[in-house]
Amino acid sequence: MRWPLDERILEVRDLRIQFDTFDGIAKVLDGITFDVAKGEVVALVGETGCGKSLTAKAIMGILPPEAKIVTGEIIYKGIDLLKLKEKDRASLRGKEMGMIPQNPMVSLNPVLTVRTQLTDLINFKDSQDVSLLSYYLGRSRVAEQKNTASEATKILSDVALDNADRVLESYPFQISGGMAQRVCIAMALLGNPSLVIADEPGTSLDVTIQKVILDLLEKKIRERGLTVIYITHNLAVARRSAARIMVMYTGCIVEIWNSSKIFSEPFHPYTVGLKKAIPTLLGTKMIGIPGKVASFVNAPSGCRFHPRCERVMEICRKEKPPLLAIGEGHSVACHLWTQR
Amino acid sequence: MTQGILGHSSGIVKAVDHVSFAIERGKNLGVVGESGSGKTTLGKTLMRIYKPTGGEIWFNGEEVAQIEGEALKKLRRKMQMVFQDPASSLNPRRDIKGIIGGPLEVHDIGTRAERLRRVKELLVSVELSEEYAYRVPGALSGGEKQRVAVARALALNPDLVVLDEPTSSLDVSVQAKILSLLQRLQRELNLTYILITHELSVVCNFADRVCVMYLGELVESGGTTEIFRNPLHPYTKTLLSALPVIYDEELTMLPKVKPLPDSSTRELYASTGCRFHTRCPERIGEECPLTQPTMIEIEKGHFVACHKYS
Repeated sequence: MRWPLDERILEVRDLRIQFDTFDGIAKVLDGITFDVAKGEVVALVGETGCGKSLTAKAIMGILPPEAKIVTGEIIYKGIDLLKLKEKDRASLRGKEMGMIPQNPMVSLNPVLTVRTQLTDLINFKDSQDVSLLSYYLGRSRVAEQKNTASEATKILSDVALDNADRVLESYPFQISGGMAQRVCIAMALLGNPSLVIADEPGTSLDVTIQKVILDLLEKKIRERGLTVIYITHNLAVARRSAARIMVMYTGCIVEIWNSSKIFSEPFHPYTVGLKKAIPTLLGTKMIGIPGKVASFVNAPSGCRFHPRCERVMEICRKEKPPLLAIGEGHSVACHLWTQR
Repeated sequence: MTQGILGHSSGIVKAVDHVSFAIERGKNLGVVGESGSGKTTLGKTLMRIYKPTGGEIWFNGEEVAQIEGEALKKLRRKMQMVFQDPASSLNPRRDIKGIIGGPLEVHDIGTRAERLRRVKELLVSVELSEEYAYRVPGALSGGEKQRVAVARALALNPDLVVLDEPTSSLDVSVQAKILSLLQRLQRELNLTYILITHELSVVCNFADRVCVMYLGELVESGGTTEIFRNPLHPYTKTLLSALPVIYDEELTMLPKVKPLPDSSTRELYASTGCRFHTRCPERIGEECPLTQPTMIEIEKGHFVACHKYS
């Protein structure tokens, strides 16, 4: 879907990322293209290993060193991030775009208190390379500390952590998963970013706490007018949290549509397969998708889903279908459309 | 099976407290709860991996809570478990035939050749080809590992299989396949399942009866349709209202409850009274923090432990 130019906050164009592995070249992202408009909340969904987290890391600029970007553009507010120098890219991280990482308990530094981690961020978020000397000098400036202390408490109350002082004094292992998640959210929002990527928020949490966290995120999104990309394998969470859903399979986006419609009237056979597999309260039978997830190393020719597709045609084995618009806000990468 | 208190010898943590329920052969029981509810401890205690500190477990007409030695070993052939996280429940240093054949070796069943034959039979029954016998767990996907875990559980022809979060680490399309496999095996082998899970939508499609646990206590139990249609305990209602669902028709079926305050001062156990009272949106008064509510039958087969109903 092409939004008017000034409304697009993020445009990803034909992003291809591969890794050299022992068994050969793993072509993980195979031409990812999508737009996100300002203020939108979208979800990138897919099963394990489809490349959704890698896409998020590519946007944030925190890819592992082995990842090779073969081609593509990631245009943020009109600037191609992939053409920027690392130091310019780094200045965007935290201040323009923030990330709430998967598994917050593990993402927090286990040997520092929450207070230290938060105040470090508050004190040093505008600096680039902080030398050890300036770090320790900075920490010992008492007046500044007093200020950051109250700011830290305020930041935590903003994510509904009432006993902020107790949390601040704790190490990550002393707080619950829900609290750690809130701390990570607070840290991501600290720099006032415009774009936030939430990687599996709530996945490691109990369902009642997950609901509280997702409601909190919704509130913050509304209050600050954030643009958000949720990354998740939980289709129900995507449905309830996002207005638009992008379905990924083995490094390709196969369908994009409004979350209210995509599961009621899925087009792509993979989306149809997912719909049939989801457990519901309506007594529908759960049916799996035959076959196994494709490997990235010797990925299937043509459409990567073709070996598992109920409606496969000859052309599917030969040519990869492009992602095309088939309706208002609805795109699909499938020969059932190109060959209609 | 009925069961009472389980407490560790330090006397402080009552991991499973006054839990009683029963299941019929061929039916499925779902045990739902969040982390810390005691559901896994319950499952392991039923399997006699832990020994209960009190109460009774009646299995096939025999009381087994405190048996030991040969009697316990014989019992083990009739009840088996599929553990959470297939990756850590399969010995990475053994091959699949060693893993599935393990129970047969322990119970001295058959010759080596007969065991191999049985292993291959089991692999086919879980829809894996026979040559998987020679592979190692590290080479298998999550779904394949879980199938191996199921095959291992079936090696001794048990009557009862306890499934501890069997699909929680699996993708939704794989989950559907594992659950239909389990249902098919149930029909073919006349199995009875206890499914331990935090996923309510899975329980809805798999279990005939449900027990809801909170911090070691059974708060509500009844037929699955009944519990979903008419949840009584405030915790059950909260659990249901927190469930993210895809279709709007499902949303209308769920209660709407104000989200709970975090158990942020995680007093693991309220020292007196109902364990849920510090977070309960429907607390009625002095009763709740003082006395533990007892299980009452509200309608036939539908039990709840809550002062609202007594």
